[in-house]
Amino acid sequence: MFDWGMWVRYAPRLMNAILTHFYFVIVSVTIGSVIAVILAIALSRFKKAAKYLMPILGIFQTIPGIVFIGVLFIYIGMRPETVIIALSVYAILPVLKNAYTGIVTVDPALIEAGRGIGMNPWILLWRVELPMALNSIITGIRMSTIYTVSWAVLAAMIGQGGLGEFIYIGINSNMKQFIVMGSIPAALMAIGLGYLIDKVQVKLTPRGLRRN
Amino acid sequence: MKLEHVTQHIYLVLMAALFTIVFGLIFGIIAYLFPKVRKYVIFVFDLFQTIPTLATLGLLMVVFGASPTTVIVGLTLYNLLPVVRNTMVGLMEVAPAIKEAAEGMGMPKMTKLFKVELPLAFPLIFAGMRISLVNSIGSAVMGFFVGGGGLGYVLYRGIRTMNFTFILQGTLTLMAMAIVVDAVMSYYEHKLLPKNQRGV
Amino acid sequence: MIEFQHISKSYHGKPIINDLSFTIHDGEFIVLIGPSGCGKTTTLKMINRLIPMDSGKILINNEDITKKDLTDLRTHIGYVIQQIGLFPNMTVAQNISVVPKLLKWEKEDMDKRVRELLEMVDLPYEEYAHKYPNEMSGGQQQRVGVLRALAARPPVLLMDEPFGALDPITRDTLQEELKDLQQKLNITTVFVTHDMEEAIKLADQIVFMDKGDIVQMDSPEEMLRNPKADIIRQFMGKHTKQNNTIELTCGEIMKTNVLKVDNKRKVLESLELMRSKGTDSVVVVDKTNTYLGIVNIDDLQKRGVPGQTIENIIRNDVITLSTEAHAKEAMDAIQNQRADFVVVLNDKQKVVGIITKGSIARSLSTTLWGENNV
Repeated sequence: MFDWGMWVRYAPRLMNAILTHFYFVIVSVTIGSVIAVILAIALSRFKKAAKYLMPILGIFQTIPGIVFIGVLFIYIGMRPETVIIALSVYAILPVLKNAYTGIVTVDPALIEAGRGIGMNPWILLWRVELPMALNSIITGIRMSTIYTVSWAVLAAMIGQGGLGEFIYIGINSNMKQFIVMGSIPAALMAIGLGYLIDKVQVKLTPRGLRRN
Repeated sequence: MKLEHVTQHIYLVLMAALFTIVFGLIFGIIAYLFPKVRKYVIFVFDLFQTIPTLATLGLLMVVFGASPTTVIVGLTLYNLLPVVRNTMVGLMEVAPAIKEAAEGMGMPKMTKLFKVELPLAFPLIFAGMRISLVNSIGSAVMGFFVGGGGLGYVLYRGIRTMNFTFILQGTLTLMAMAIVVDAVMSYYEHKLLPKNQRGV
Repeated sequence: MIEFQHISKSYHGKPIINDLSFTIHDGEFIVLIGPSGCGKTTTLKMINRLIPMDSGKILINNEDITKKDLTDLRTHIGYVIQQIGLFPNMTVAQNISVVPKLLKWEKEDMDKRVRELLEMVDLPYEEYAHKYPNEMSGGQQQRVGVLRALAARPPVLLMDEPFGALDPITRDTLQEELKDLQQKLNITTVFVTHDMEEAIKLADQIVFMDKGDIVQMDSPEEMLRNPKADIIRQFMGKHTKQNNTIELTCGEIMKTNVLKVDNKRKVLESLELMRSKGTDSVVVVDKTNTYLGIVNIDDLQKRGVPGQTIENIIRNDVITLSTEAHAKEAMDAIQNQRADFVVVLNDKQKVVGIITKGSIARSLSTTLWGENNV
């Protein structure tokens, strides 16, 4: 299954693809997460609106990534921006759902204690609600990252590079080596990033919040 | 867009769903009955879900060639985690008092499993199946790349040839399928919950 | 000084507080008490404006609280709640420093204050300052909760059933510590509870409320001596432990080792049983342990037909009492009505015990003189 000769020959292109892919994922997840947290905070203040908005956003998620990228590419053209925009939008939902749930399920006793001792809404958010929601937020980011590694594979479809390139060419020209060269790094990237985020999550959780 | 694409897609999803349910239950039960392997079982299926779909399909294609079988195997592996995990957790969360009562009456382990624990865990297991099923409707889109046909083809051609009608038809069909399945299963899921847990 | 002037509050059209007016003097420990729904918690929460009033004014040191900046108001009032509410993501030191931090104290001052406070409640700084709430017991957590409320040296302290979620022993300890602390710091304290004993223990003045009105406001002594309403009397009866009367039930003094026979037993067997156990009566039950009566050795010998069951020889004239009945009734039966014993039944008419002269004597001495004096 492994033709090492090919691996050596295509190494530079593979490295390039890996880096491009990585770049797409990191940028999109970052943008998506930031937007998601801001939206989650906004929604948590308007819970009634959230009841309707969340299912609608969920429906958006059922639109396959391929469609979104495709439609955007028709309007914006084949550029890296198309990919980033599409991926960022998709990265929003997992984080949004988790962040929103994390914020609104903070123990009401803590909110009352905070308000009672004189915290204004912003301080309450920053020192109580967000820290308590942090765990959920990171879990959302983890999910988002893993999905995005998957969706970024589609970037190659509009010629923007990334590991999808190897996988597509491999499939279309029935060159098994290419498929493997694209798939394995993609798999490793997803697993690796997931693992990293797990470690970060443990580090960022104060002892007082760890469930023994 | 032809009807055959829709039926192909449904075929892929249903076949995958079948295997997902069967194997999901089996592995979930195994994980429940043997605490020592729980970590490993979950780790393996989490892995399958983590690896990008297309990558999995690509690798499978290397082994099995381009065919609907590849797609079905890939979809199954990818969507096993929700069912396995929910089965395991659902069984674990059955009230200990009930398990003790069953044992105390002399129920053999397997009977207890099938007649008491599984029925009680069913709402959660059903939720897991719902998640898997809805997800596979979306993931099956990738199927056409590896010779499975389905709505992915419609979408791909639409994008390649800038044919909006195709794109729209494909997307709306997919969305409709996902929404309907999700809504129907959610409704039954809600009904399955005992009356005092139906918070909504 | 805190003044309530004609305060009213309704929720969804239902009045909770009606034209409430009273004054709290500096340094006083006030306890608000009353049945559920009387408005005590609402009253408390209006002081720090967590609940807005519909009409009326509350003045703290002659300042209308609605005219004051909200943050300013709350950071100068200490607040302790029943669920404790320590922030789980912060250490003890960080929790205590929350309000000082909001008030922009210098770091050294905050540090000093934390040490000072921890010392006051006997939680050594080295051990506890860097612990997280989930690493401490409920009692320790609530102590920290109180410290957090006192950290910025507020003139007023509000407490909403703060010890309600703790076990009785911890509650006792914390009540005493609180009383000490309050007197030392001379801080005006408003405390809500539904426990009359707690109120009597802690208060300088008790404000008894019912349906949104003040029924009586007096010192604990005065209220005990002259309760002005039935409901107050009821509260004292329900919630104060009467330590002067010996309240014993039959269930507490009975012997549980009762000789019982099934009503289908035969005459000779039963005679043999009684002879071997040296008793002259035995309790008869059916197979579900439901009480049917007793058989007496005399009756058996006179009327029992060998080979037959004892069913026809059962007597029903023995006194039975429930486990919840007052022990006094058992003593009465044995003393005055010349019974030899009393059978004790539970609420399902099952035999659970028996009281004899011997068991009365034993339990009396245990109650009066302790376990080992028999």
